Amino acid sequence: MLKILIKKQIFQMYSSFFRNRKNGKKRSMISTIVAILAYVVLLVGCLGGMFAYMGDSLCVPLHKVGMDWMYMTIFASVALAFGIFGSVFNTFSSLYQAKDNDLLLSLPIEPKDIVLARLSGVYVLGAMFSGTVMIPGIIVYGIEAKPGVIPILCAISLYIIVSLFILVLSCMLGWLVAKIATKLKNRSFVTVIISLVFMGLYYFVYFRASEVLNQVAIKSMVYGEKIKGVAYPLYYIGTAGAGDLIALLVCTVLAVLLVCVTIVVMSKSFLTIATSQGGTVKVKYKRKEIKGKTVSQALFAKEMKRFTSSANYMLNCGLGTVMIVVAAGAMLIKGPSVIVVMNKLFKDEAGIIPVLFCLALCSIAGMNDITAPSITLEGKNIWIPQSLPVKPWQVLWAKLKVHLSLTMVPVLLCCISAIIVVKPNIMIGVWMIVLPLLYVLFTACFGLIANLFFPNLNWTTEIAAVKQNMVVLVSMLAGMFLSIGIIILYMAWLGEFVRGEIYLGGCTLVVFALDVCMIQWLRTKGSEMFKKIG
Amino acid sequence: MLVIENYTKSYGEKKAVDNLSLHIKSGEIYGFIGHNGAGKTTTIKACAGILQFDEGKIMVDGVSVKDDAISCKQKIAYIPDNPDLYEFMTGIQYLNFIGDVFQVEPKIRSERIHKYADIFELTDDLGQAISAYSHGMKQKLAIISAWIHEPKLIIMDEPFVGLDPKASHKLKEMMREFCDKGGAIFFSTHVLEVAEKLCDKVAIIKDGQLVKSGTMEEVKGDTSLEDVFLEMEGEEC
Repeated sequence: MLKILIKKQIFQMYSSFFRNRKNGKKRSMISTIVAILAYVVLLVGCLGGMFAYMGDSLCVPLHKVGMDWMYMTIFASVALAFGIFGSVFNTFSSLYQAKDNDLLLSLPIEPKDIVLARLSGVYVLGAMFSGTVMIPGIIVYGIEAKPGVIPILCAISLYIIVSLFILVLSCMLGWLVAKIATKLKNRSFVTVIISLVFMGLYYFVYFRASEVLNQVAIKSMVYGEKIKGVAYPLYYIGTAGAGDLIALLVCTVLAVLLVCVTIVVMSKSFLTIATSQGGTVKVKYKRKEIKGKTVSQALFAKEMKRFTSSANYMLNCGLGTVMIVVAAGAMLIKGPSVIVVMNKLFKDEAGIIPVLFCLALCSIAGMNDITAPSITLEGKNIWIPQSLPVKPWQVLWAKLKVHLSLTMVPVLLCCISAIIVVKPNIMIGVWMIVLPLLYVLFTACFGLIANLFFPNLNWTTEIAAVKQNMVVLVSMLAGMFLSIGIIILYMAWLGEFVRGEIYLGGCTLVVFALDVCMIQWLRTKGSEMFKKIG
Repeated sequence: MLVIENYTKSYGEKKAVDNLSLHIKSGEIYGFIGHNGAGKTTTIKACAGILQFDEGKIMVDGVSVKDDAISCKQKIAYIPDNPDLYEFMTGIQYLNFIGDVFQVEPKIRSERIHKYADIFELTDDLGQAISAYSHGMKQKLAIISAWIHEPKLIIMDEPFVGLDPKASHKLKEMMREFCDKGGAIFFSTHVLEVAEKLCDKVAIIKDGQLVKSGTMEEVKGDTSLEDVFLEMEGEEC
């Protein structure tokens, strides 16, 4: 039974690799391999590359002074933080909010087996996140330090131990989130705020990482002694990864013990939490005066409610709204010093700076991808908009409006900040506002179109619809790559022949034309497609 | 009110419904009976304008569902076999959403909501999130949402599933009252006793083809609807 459940759990997490979401048919072997390779390349290429660089700058200095353990401690700690950060909300969602919990609990299956199967999914995800840190770190260690076979095997074992610790800590935090969630009324907003705090801490550490790494490389002995003194377990874990077999054995036993305790505790509390209806006090409805809305307002309000009621949706697709406002503030504070550096860099071609700022604004404008999972999120409710007397375009437009209203205002703020900092001529100033706003429309339409082509209404957890949705990733990358492409085109080639304002004007026209085409497509063929979904 | 003529729907090579014709007049409660997979839901979804079809025509109050789906939907209320409603809304938010889409005046809407919510004893729970509702409560909410805009035709797929006996009784009363005022109801059911007592006309579908239709007397004669149905299905009575 457990084997079947684990297979189901893993398959559910990665079903898009094996099955076409559009027609539900099994993918061909080649298509599956291409999908998996694309995912691995993306994960290893983008994130793994970053951690390989980190390993490259730390490995030699630490190995030279015989502090391989510190290298392992750093990588294990980063992997631990990264793994927990990546999988804690997935743990909460897949353990306690899975839509098939009721179904599985009704079957003659021990809750322990359901927990074990769910935990296997959590483990795989945690191992994947920690692997993007540990695997490049171990490869760099093997190449640059040449420590021999046993330390490398110990380092690989440390990776497995770290992923077990991630499982334990994710479960503890996931359990805590579930406990808190049952007591909260506005749980989606609280979850978003907690996540933002986590994210703030993450970026604080991230931006200071380079400085910290330099310090560690220079003063490794001092920091080494400090770690031994105040955080001995970290030192011990590091030595386990660097080839100390006794330390490795102790860490392994400890990790396995903790996993066993976690499974026992989770199995005991799973039934209570998974079947809890929220624990909130039942409020008796009081009759109030009803205010009518127009059809368009009603559809917009429904989409907005959908967005604000889901922490997963807000965090994965709408975080840009906060980040863009932060960027607007940062631009005002740090912008002048950036301008000074850029003036030095491009002293012969000062006209390039406003163009770069404008295109950077486009990149920022593409941070939200609210429309990308919006059709998938209709799920089993798709019959409602399809059976109501509204045109499909009205439904699609409401989805676009949520994206536009939550993105355009912050982007406008960011544009104004950029104009204050860059002080461009009037023409470029106009493009610096118009182009990013049109770009917001472009990303909104692109996400919606992509979702119309690849809707998946049969999801069991919301996280699958939002976080594990390839459409969301593709939409985000498309928005980023187009703006990067426009920058490269100007810097590498057209910048020599075309003045900045003319280039930006051309880009504005192209994006405008793309917007018009996409809206026209959504009004016609897209609407027809929407009618047939489901 | 509802005219289905030569309606055919295929899924790939397989014909789910083949050349079906039915006429439902104002004032009639029309029952639609058949075994699982006979084509009831496929027919009902096409009538509600949410399923495209290959051949034939479906007219609601003289308007073709294919040519002017929006006008048809203005006159229809549809309740699916499984009340999957917006779980992120509260009951009252959902009813107001439906009221807004059908542009029901707030004052009239409020009266209707409270009238039907009182009938189904759901008033106190209207402020709760739909995600906290039981299946029966969701079904009641779906029924209220169908009644608040006073449609001309109500199309229901297995409306009695999940309802408690009292709510089932109230729904039957509401259905009769609605048709007595000139509305029409087309619904599928597996509860043959209900169909026998409630319906003015009935149609039996088997493997996508209409096998019998007409008034209750024409269809069942001196026997029971259950006997007729089992005979059609080839079972011994």
